[in-house]
Amino acid sequence: MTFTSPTSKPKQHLIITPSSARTTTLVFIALLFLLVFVGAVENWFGIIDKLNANTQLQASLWSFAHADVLLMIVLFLPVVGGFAQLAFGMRAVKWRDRMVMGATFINLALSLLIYPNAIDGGIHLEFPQALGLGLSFTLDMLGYTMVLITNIVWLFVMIFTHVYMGAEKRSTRFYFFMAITYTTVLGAVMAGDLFTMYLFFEIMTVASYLLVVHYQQEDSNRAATTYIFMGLVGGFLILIAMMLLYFEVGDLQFESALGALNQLGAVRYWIIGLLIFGFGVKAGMVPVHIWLPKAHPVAPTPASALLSGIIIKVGAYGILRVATSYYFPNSNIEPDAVWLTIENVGFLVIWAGIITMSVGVFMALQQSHIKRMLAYHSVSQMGYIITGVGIAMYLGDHGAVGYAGAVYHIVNHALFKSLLFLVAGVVYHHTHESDMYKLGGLWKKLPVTTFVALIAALGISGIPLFNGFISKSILHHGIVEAVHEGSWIFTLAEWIFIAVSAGTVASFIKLMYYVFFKKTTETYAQIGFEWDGMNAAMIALAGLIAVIGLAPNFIMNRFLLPQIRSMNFDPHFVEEVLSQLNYFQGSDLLTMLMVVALGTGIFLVGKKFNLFHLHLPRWLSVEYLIVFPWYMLMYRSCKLIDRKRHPLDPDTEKMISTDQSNPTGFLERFQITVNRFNDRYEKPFIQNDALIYVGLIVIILIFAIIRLI
Amino acid sequence: MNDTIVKSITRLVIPFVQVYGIFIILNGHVSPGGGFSGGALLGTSLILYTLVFGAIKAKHKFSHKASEIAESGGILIFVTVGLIAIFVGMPFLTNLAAGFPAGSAGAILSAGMIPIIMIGIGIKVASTMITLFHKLIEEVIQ
Amino acid sequence: MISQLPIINLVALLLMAIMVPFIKKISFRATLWLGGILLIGVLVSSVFIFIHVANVGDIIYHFGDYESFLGIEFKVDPFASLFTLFVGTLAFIIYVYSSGDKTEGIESPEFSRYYVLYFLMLFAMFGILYSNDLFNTYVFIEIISLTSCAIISIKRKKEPYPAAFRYVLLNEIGSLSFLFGIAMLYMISGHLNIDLLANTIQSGWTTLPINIIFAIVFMTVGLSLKAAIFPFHIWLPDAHASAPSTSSAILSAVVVKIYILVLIKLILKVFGVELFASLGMDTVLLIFGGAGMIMGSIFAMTQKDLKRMLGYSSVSQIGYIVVGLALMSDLGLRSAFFHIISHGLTKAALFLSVGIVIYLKKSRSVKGFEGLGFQIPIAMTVFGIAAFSMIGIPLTSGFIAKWNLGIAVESASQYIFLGVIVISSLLNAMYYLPILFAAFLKDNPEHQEKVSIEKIPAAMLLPIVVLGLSILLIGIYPNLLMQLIDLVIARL
Repeated sequence: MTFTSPTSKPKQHLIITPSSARTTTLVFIALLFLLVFVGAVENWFGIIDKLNANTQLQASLWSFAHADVLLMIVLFLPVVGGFAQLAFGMRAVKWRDRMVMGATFINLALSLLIYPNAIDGGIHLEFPQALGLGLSFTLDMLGYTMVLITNIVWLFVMIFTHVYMGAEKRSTRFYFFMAITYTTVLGAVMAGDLFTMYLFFEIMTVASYLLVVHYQQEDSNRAATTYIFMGLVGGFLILIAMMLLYFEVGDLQFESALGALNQLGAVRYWIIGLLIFGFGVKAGMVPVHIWLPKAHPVAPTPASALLSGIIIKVGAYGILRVATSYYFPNSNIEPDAVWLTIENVGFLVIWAGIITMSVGVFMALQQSHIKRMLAYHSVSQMGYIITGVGIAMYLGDHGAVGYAGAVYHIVNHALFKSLLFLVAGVVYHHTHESDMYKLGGLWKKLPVTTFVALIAALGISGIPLFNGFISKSILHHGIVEAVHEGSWIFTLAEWIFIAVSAGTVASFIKLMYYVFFKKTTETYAQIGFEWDGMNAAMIALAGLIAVIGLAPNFIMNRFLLPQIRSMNFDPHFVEEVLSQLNYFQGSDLLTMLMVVALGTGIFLVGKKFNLFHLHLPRWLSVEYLIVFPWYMLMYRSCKLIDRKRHPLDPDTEKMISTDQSNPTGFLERFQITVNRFNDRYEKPFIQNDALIYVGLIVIILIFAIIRLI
Repeated sequence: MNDTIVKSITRLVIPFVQVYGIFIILNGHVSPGGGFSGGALLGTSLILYTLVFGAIKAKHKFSHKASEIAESGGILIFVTVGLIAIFVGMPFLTNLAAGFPAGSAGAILSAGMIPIIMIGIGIKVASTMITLFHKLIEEVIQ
Repeated sequence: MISQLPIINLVALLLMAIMVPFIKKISFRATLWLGGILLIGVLVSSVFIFIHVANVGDIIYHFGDYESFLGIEFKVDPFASLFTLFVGTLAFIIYVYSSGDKTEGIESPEFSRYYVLYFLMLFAMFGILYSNDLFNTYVFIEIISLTSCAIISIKRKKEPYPAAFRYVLLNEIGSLSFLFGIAMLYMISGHLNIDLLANTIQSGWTTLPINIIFAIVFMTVGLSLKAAIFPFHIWLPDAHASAPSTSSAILSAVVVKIYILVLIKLILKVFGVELFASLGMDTVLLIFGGAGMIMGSIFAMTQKDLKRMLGYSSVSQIGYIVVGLALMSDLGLRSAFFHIISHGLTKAALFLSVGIVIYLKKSRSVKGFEGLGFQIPIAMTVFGIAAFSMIGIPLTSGFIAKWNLGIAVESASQYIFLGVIVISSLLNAMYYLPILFAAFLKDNPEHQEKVSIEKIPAAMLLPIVVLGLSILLIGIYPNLLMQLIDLVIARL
């Protein structure tokens, strides 16, 4: 990928280099495989019937596809590939990149082969002795959906990275940790019990830290530190919940634990609460979403794409999995009372999702940095998914709507969000500018990029004929169902839902206008159009967005409905509402029209009255509201400790003050407070050793003697 | 000290003190005493020598090398005696059952291994006292 | 023959200690080799003892063939043999490391003294574990106090002297408290042998309860003082600051645990769990342990000297062990034993890799780690593994230890400790992660980008690698160790 100097003439012709031809071919072959897969599953041309007729071929193919080993290969191939490319390193960059792309491609192909297994009732593998409690892997259709979408998105992003990063400094390290993150993501979604998921989750946090901190600049160091500490906090919350669950229930397998849980009292709410917050940190749920907008702008583009596209989904997947496994009953003949726990929790989760989506879209409208805006949109879209999960919990045995909507939106968001980040990366690569207000008129120079950005924007806005529309309609149906079956308060939720969708539309009109279509004085003469792997990968993703939008039934019927039927939702409800769902109903289309109109209106009003530059006062941000009491506490304690002998010196006072303009972070303040505490108390502690001894002996003796009497 | 009287008296007295010390060591199993007190006496005798004749001469009498040998030797005697018991098949430090001659009560050569151990202890204690004293003196002189 | 093995171990160690000054005259390398072979021999015999004890039965050994109430008795049960195996293994690994560590401020005349002290200390540690007699334990405890004090202040500089003095003073106070407790117990029962003493405690409780209270309190506090349990941990950071790395390693990883093991022996065999709990001492230990878990990490965060930081980190981890002990249940004891072994390995790995860093940079500051990950990759990788074990990332033994402790804490319904464990882990992350970040993610001033295997003697690298691998091994397959621990507890 060459970057021509500003003084040379703009290129007139389309230039295709051999390497770009190769990567394009790879993309094409991948799409072909997907097409064959869809064909086989949908039984086009009777392929499956012909296969079934030929019993010998069928037997050998079947035995190959049924091997449990396939699952482990798909899981560990990335790590092997990661170490292998480490061996090539920077000395043989071409071979290293080929190894990476090849391994990812093989992974995708193998995972396609697992389909017959997964639909047949799932795969289950156990390693009883590992790590004390044993590891177990289970692949049902939900897990398989996640695996497949992960592999697809990862392949295209890897092709993009090959061109984008090329032989950049430390790119080998980047690929290595990318590979480890890949394995841990796959492991987390394939996990059969909470312990295995936790193992992969923690390693994923540590590995993805190294992706965020890749550039090793000051801002990426700080953002990455926030990321890893919040990730560890989330992990520890899950750990406590896991310990409680293990102790009370005895078994961490993802099966119904309602029998044991219902006898527990308040502890069961603690467990699910801790799990939701723990996974919510990773999922970007408000109020623990704080790391998201910090980490995305500073990470390299492929890392942001995967972080937003896949990794935060693992958080949502976690919440979905624990809620629907432990707290759902074993069979659907149980009385309604047994759903009560999860319904109560679901109520709160829906509202958490609604708040997340609103905060996300509101903050997104205020941003001028493209990547930070996309990061806030990730928060907002995760809000949709969390709302869907909440509906699945709240509606109890009618929750299939929310479940389907959430999982469908996970798939869709992975596609369009990663595409949007890739677009942002391409724009930055060519113009070295991240501020959308400073760009404009790029559609002439980067037509392919504009085209795919348009498709992605249409997808995320939920325009009919693109994939976002499908999942958002399902979620909308879910909220309406909640209004019917639950309380009227969800009408408010429905209005907020519509408003947020409108806001999303507005925000993307804003993005497209300012980045691509606005007339601008900068001619960007130096950008030439070259066809390369980046464009091919982006077009592939855009194609998937369009195809899913046009033929939504494939995913619903082949992936989601089998999973939903295997769970214990009310079958009548599932048949009535979901399998007969007409996606292009009049009411949905009208709602969408209204949303688009509203969104355009918001955009025009905002542009006219300059509402998009609202810089909220610092004290209104979520982060500040949470940490402010702690800052106050630290400030007061710093002032109080050793007030007479060593009063606080002005530098430290400035750093720890609670002024709103003080940029010192939580961790630094904590360090300062603890240092002060230590300076004051450590020496006297050491010097009074004998006194401590005598004093404590006397106290303990008195204590023991009192116990005696 | 430069006093002639003190030096001559000391030169006369020290052998007697040492003999007395050895006597106590050897009679550990018969009468009060034993390795510890006898060794202390032996040590004191050389401390007396140091005080009167000066550290440098005392260093010649009882050099660092000698103290090394004495200390290690003392423990070696002890351990060897114990190991003899193991060779015979009894637990460590077994006395009569391991075949040490019991002798008759009150005689010097009786009570099995105890006299041997006492000698070892005596040498070691003496050496320790002298070494400690010399170390303390060293600090002062240097 | 098997029954003689324990005493042969002890005698061999003692003899080695004595012979070092003589053999060094021939050649120092000869001493090192001989010591190494001897330690391997001791290890092998410990393995045999363990197998024998596990399958056949305890080895009971009477010195001088005297009866229990007259003489000194050694009782080698699975508890003693497992932990002597642990002590022996760690001692061997640290010994190999020390044979390569030529320039850590120990001048050459001191080398032989160092090894004399080392073997004497090892002799005493084995003795404590084998012994079934209280006063014998006391004698060995005294030997350890003196030799460990000497081994940490072996450098001839001025600065360690106040620290060493405080160390020896506090240790002596601890030993004397222990002795006072023994005296109190002797007063009621007239026996010093642990088994015989245990029989008479019940009757002693009815006649002279004050004695037993005094004994329990003084012995517990005395042993806490020596084991660096929270309010009594004061000597530990100072002791580490100016000691050579191998001394710090053996002190923090092994010696301190021996005292906790003595405490466990006391509580379980002499006093009995019910008596101990009825006096409220388990609550006291719980409070000390919990406070130690948090305060240890808080003090560690602020240290500028690497070794002091690791010392406070030890205090925090010992808090975990004490909490596990104070729960007075099988699960708690199980987690305490596991953590003793896991922390021994982790702390030894930390101190030894830090030793390599100090060897390279000649400075003990926390700040100088930039870019070190590329100069000494193996040492920093092991440091990283050990740091992750301290924080509690899965796949390391530290995670398994915290998990077990969490389950044990729940079964005793002390749910607040779950929060304490998590806060303590987060605090651990706050001071270990910055070092790892600086080592691997910041460029060093010389801008050395290439990864090169460090020019450090293999004798120093190999032990570290072994320790790192064992942390991972125990993290991935903890059942190997857990089976042994369950066996020990069943027979305790």
